[in-house]
Amino acid sequence: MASETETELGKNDPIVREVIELERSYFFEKRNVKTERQRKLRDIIERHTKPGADAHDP
Amino acid sequence: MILEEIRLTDFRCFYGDAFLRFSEDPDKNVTIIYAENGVGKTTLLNALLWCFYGETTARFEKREEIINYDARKAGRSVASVEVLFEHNEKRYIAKRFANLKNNTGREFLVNRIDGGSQISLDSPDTFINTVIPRDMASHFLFDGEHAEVFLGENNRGSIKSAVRDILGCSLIETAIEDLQAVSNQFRKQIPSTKATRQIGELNSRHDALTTQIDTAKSAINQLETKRDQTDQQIKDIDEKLRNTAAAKELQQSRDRLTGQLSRAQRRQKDYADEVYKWLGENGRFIVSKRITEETFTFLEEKEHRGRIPSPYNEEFVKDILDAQECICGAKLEPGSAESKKVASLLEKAANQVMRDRVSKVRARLTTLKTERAKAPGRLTKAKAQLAEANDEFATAEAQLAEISEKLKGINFEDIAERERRRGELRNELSEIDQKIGSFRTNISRAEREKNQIDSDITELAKQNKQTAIYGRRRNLCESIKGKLELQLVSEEDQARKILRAGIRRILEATTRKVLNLRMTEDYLISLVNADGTALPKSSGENQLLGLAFTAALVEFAKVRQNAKDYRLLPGTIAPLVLDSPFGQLDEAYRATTAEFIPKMARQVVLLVSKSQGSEDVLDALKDHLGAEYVLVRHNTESRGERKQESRYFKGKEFNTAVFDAEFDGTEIMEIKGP
Repeated sequence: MASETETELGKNDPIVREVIELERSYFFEKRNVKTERQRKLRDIIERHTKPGADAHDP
Repeated sequence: MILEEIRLTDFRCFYGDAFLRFSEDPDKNVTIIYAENGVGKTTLLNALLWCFYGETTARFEKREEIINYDARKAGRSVASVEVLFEHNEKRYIAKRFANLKNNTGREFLVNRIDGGSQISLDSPDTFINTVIPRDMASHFLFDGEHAEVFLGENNRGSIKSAVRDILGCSLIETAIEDLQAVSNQFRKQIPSTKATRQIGELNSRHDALTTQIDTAKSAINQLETKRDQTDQQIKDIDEKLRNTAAAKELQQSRDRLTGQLSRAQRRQKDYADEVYKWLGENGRFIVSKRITEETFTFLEEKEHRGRIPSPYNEEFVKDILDAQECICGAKLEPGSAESKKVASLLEKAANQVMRDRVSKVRARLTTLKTERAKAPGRLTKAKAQLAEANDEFATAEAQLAEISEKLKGINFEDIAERERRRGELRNELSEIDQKIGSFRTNISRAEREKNQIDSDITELAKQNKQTAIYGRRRNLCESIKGKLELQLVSEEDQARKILRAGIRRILEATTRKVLNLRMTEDYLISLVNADGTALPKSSGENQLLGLAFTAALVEFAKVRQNAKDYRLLPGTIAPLVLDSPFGQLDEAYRATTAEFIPKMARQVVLLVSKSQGSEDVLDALKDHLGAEYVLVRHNTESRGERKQESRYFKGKEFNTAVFDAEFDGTEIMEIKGP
């Protein structure tokens, strides 16, 4: 049985996946896209921390 | 990726069109290209790099001059490299152009070959990067002459990045960086309320600490550069001192003779001491010779006359006198003539003390006599050894004087000046290290404070309804970041183990010595002998280590080809192009390494000069050679006094340098035959 910590960390797995997918989609681009990438990352974090969102709040 | 063919047009030293087909046979997986220095080996390696990524290696001279000089003179303005390859069972052609006149057209394209037609891919750069990521390319396109760059302490950064590239952790790394940036943005966005006024102050302190840390890190970077430079200067001096050949040889003799002299001196003292010691212990035996002899004569004479031992016993005579009766029964009245006569015997009588004394004298005299007999042997030996030590000392002294005369002809001031400079540089190095250490301490203190502030800010933000959301966002950023950081550490740890095992296995198969591999947490790799001493970086073994490291990386990338973890970039099967991989290896190592090279990758392209492609090397490779080429240099000039350069391959003679040619450049010739 998973420990409480493991369960808590596991809760954020879908968000981790989303973050990595975002990084992957930008990885091979040559142009300077850091600002845009970080803006999209902010969007992900904001979306998952809205009241009632699925993110775990440690 | 499997390379099929490369086509070059007016690219660098290749004038006009040239092409080369690589061996795709999995059993005969080695394509070998023979070329002397300066003819185009490194250009071929760079042609591949340039075609795929538009870049060349750092050592490639005049990197911006892509178009062949004669082609330009002839009015041509476009150079190109095309590479045909297979990837995931599909065939592609990558083409890159350098156009002197028109920079607006497409420079790079990748077409999928579909039957007889070609379909252009929308994002050729992206595609190539999925086949072999740019960051990994330099490990597959291997410049063997500089294999040791992986090994130096100065290059620990490049080793670390090589491992991380192959590891495919770039996505995790950028994600960590972005999450940190976004978390900082949220921190700064926390609105100012009554409850969060303190957050403003903490933010200012946080920013100040960040600036301090950045400044310290940049100072460390500068100091590390300076450290590398100073270290290099010391190495240069060491090399010069080592290479002052005449002085070196004489100095070595001087060191040897000085050692010999001091050993002879020690022996001189020891043997002289032995002589003195002997005299102290045995001198009395020699001095007592006469008195001993006289005493013995006296004792013998007395014995002969019956004086010794004495005929009368003092105690016995006294008993008779006391009893006043002789042993014959006659009365001995005190004062009578008989009694006086018996009493007169006391003059010649001996008592017990006297008898003991005589016995001791005799024993002592016997010892003196025996020791005296032994004494000359020891003394003679000690004297002979002393004479020998004296001779040795004198010879060494004379030879040292001779060396000193010879050394007078050498510029020792120069050597001394270098030695002095070396000392200064070592002091500088130690100061630099101290400064770096102090900066690191400051950084770690500032980082601890920053982390505390970070957590205080988040806690404060939670206390207010208006700011709580920022606390949650920051928490989420930190939580994901922490998780990714943990994975990065664990992946690297795993990679380090696999690489270490891979390198060890390769070294065991190729080196003749028992060598131990050291790999630090920073991937700083070095070789040490069985007794723990490090091998010089320039040694053949260390070049082998560079090659073994590359081989282990290639193997690792192959293993990782099917990595399922979505967070990692997949590995790749890539061809291994080795430019002069045998640089500093001796003949025996070249042959062992050559045996091993075909196993390093699915497809290997080997670029070698005549000296590197020796008979033993070719013999070791012969069963794996699928294609062979020789690069021929064309010169418009006439031969003049130059000797004809030619090589024999498969029974045919190839002129490797052609004169009075139509162009200056390199031609690729295939070596065919049984």
